[in-house]
Amino acid sequence: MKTPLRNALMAAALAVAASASYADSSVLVKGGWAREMPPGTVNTAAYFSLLNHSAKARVLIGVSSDIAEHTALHTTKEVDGVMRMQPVEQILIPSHGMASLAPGGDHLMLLGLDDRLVVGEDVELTLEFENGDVQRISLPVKRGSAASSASDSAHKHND
Amino acid sequence: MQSFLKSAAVPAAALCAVVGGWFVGQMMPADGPPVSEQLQRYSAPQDGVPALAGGHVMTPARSVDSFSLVKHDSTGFTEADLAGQWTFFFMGYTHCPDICPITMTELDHVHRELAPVDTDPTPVKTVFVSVDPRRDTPDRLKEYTGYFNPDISGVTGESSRLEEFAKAMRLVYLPAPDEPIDSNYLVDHSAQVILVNPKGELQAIFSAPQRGTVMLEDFKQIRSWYAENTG
Repeated sequence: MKTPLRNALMAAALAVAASASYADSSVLVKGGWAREMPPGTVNTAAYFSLLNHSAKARVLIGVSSDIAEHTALHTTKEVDGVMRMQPVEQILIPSHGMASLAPGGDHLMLLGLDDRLVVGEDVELTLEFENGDVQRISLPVKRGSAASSASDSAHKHND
Repeated sequence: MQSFLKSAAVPAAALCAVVGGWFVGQMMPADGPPVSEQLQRYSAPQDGVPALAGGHVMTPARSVDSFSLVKHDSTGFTEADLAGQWTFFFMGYTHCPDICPITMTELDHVHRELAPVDTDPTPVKTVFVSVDPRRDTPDRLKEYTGYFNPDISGVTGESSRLEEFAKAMRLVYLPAPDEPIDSNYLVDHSAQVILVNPKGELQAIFSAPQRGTVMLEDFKQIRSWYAENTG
């Protein structure tokens, strides 16, 4: 009776410790995906949410990838009826907060891919943060616009 | 500090773009009456005209000036091809990494949901108008549009022809760069989706962000209203 209780407490304490140390060292990536490319195209975009459970704000300053000739953080904006793509220098993930790259808004632009991305593949990306941290992530390739979620994604998480 | 300001400015700007862009964006014609006059005309409530969730019905529908583009099968495409069908138009380019594939996917949603259950015999088509004729050859357009939906076709033309088309559709057109510095250049393009009725007249404008579920319901409303009012 006594031992299982102690074990449970110990496990709980370890879990807390583990999550705390994880949160301090890393930003959690959630719901990410890269868009499958229509045949004949060489550009695409990737989207993901970044969760920062730590007490310090984090700043994403760049993303690199071996598969693209050029990568850039970009945003899509409508200005006087015209869709314009503009570079984004950095993306702030507030402490205990999140930032979302989503269709029709901030996104990671992948330009000049040699091979077309198709569903079933994964894309390896390296996130670069202002404090010098780098973090490797892998995103699945998906089709579509996240099912009519171009504007919904601000309100709910994709998957 | 700067980054905090920037992060606060982005959502604020996005909100302004959505709220402000709603009117300014969709009402900005290539020519024609000033925006304020158009606003007055479009926003005045009229009996029976459907209030759309994602755009505006034009009453009366506007005639479309003549235009001449090239289809993905290299045949000509003019205003005469619009008679007898409902046509959605979207201007974009195949190298566009974000908003074009999103909009195409949303338009695919309209066709995919509508086609299997539709009892209306009038065809519903979507035409993707590429503003990037340098890279979007007819073959490329065929591959691109076919990927999204067989009811979507692609057209393009020389810059002067695209300008003529945009003017006819009251859309903003900005030419792609003449001498791009690298092959991955980006092109600005109009944000709206235009709906042309079976008489070949401009019937509705849908504002960004485009959503297939909204466009489908709006379209059904327009079509019923059109059937009742044209006999």
